Amino acid sequence: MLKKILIHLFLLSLIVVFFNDKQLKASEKKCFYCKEYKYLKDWPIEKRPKAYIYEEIKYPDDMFKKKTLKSKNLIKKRAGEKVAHRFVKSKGQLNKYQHLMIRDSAYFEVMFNEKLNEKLAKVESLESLKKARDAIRQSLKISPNASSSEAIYKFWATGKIMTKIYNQNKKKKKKDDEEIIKRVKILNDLKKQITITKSNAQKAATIEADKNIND
Amino acid sequence: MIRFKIFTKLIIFLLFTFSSLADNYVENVSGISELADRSVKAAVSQINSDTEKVINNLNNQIEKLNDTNNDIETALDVSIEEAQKALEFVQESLNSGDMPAAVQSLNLIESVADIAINSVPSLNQIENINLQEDFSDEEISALASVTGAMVVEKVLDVQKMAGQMNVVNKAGLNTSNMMNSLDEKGIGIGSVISNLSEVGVVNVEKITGKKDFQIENFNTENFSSMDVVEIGMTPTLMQGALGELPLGAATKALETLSKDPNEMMSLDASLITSEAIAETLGLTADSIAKTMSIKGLSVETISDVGKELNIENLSEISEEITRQSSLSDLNEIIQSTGLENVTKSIELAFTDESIGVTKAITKNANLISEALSKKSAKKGLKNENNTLENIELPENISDTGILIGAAILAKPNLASGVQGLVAPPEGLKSGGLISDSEVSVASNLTNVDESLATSNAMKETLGKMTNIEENKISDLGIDKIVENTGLTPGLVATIGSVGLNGLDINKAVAENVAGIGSETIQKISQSIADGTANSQTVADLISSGSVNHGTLGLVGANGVKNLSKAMGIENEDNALVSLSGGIVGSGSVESLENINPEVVEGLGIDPSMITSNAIAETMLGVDLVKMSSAISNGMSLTEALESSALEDLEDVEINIASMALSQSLASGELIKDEDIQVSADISGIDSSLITSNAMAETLGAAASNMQSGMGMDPNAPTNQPGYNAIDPATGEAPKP
Repeated sequence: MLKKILIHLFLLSLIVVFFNDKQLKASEKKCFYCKEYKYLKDWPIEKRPKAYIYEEIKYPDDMFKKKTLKSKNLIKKRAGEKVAHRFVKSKGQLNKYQHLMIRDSAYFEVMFNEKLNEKLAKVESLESLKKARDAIRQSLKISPNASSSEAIYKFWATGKIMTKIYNQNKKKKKKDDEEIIKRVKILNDLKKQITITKSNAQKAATIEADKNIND
Repeated sequence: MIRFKIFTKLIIFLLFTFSSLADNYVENVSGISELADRSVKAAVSQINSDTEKVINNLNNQIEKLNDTNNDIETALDVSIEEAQKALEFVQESLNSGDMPAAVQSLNLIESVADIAINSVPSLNQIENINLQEDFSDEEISALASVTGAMVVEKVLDVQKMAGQMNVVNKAGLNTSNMMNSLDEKGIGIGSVISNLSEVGVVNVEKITGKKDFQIENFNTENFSSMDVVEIGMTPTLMQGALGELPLGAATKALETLSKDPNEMMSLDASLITSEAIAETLGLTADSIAKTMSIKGLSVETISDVGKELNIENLSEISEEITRQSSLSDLNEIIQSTGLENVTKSIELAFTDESIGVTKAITKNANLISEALSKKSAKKGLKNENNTLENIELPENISDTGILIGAAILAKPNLASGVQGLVAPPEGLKSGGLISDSEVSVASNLTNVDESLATSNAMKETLGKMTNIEENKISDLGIDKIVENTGLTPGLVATIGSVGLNGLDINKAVAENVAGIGSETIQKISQSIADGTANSQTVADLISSGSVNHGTLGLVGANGVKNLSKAMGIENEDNALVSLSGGIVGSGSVESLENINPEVVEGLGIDPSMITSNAIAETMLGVDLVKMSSAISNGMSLTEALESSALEDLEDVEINIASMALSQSLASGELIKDEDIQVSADISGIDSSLITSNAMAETLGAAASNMQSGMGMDPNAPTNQPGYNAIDPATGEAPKP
């Protein structure tokens, strides 16, 4: 009986140690500022990098309805809806509708900026969102240090012009261009073979050098 | 008289012999040592045999083509014909020992093919658009900035092509004829430059001295070496372009403007009054200053640059610029240079595919969308044509072998020069010493600190990098083979790693010497080297991503010591770090508290945050190049330190190739899908890093972050009752 209790106790302690370890690992935060400040209200503005300071923005004319522009909450809500739809709900179609992805990246910027106006926004969540924001900015080569307003205008205007291109092109029919494709393939093959030729030359010199050094 | 004739003939004969010997790269390299002789001949033999196969294969493919009268098909046929001629010239060049001409002919074929392929109209075209009707002034400014950023790659490609033409033409292939044939079909360098000129990316008149492009007025060497002002880019596009280029490109642009304000002559003719030019120049200087600020340069340093260059607007600049949008200046520039002209340029940039704006946006958007939707397409990565096989490298190939192989091919690969747009040092520009076939051990082309270039430091660095005794290094001629390149050993190792993986060597070197040709960067580096730089300047160099192989060599051992000390790092040998680009010799962060708080503040981080030593305890060394790049890409100091930590110094030092490759991947957007053909894992580095999927993975994680970031918000739409990722009515993802 005592033996059974001891075995149970041993197993229990193993489970406790295992879960504690897992919990500890999970609690290792992959963020920087969140270790010092839990909520945005704890983080003095003068100590924040520029990217975490709220910016008052005059939005592009047709980005929000006039009614929405009257309330920051409505702006935040609308931006959140747009982001959720484009980047979460329809993320499988981002490649097909790139023009919309670019345009709606402007809403992502708005959402991030508006979060910077929430006292109870979690710093950990903001750091996480900033990583995503910086990654999305790469599509138009926008610097991570650029202001939100600059990024918004770039995404919005480019999305608008790319949408015009998309709308014009969707009416066009693809031409029969088999002969063109053949020629383009020849040139593409040629480029690939040249890359291999150059790399092979360096490999040949490298292998020969390696042999001679070891001789 | 007869004596005189014989004497003259003898002189001519001697001059001819001497000059052919000077041009005979293979002979010159062979003369260094037996090791060099065997290596260079192995490379020549390999190119010869591969080129033969490529020619045969191309001939077979051409035979299968049908005759055509279609304009696009005829244009493509001309480019294929010119490629055939250039391929034959590769073999001719190799026979005469001119390896740089052979390699540059190969590169020129790639450039010609690129233009031809891009000339094929896709569906991605727009017929008519009127920006002034549909877009506000602010939106037009934003589009101008995006256009500027997107055309940079195109200009770099054309400058590279001009450099290739310069080498090949000097070697005997008539590239003027080649381009005339291609331009007749609208796919030569003249057509591309003319199209870019229409948009205001370059100015044909400034480049050639004539209104219309004519190949006989086109100096390939000069054009390849021009900076962003010299090529005649309009101020409206310059803001976006400089944002995409390294800091040194912006400082170089300011230097050119300050020396000759008339360089900025590509303005609307009606506005060329002294007041209008002065106003535009002032606004342009402001705009460049904001770009520099976004890149991480402090107001203090920008003001110093302004004083140094005698640019009033800059010297009196205030903290206000850090709070202003860079688009506001651009809007003013657009208004002062003529709104109509600007809108026309942007309309053309988006409608003319040869400019490459829409293609560049689509390409970048593809990467992002694939990453966010976690679909990584590996399209275009395979070489479907099996006529040419990748050589498999033996396992455990030595670092010394990699260094020698890279050094042998360095000059041939770089003979076209590094593009002037990135402000490289003079010796590395088109027509500079890098394209000289002579063996010139005396000169270092990356402007490395003189005390290191003239001392024994090079040999010691090679010894540490290869683990070979210094005597043996001399006996085998390894030191001369590497010094012959005029590059630092670290940069040669980078070329080795990048070249063996089939990536773009020119781009990797450009990333690492960018800005060295700018006097401002040289002065900043000098002040760091002699210890007179203040903490802010040190922070500026790091936060702007300007620490690379070039700047580490330029600041020398003292500069590396001062830079490292500011970051709490103590190196075992600073000269070694300087010449190896930190590939070997980097020290450890002993305590994060040793980091200079003023430098930390200069990086935009509250110094009181630097309290944890946990990271320092796990790190043996720090790669300054990677760290600087990480900070300039928006990472916090801790993240940057983590990403640049050398986890096992011993492992790193015995595998310089992996270190060099990871630096190259970190410091720039090196990877293009079409580059990824050769994936021999020479470095032991995670193969996922050698593909653009590395970016996809980063963004995949970003997508998760995005969801988790939103998930934490109880008001987020995804957390509302009834929210479904799939439309319950159709069972499909909702339509946009």
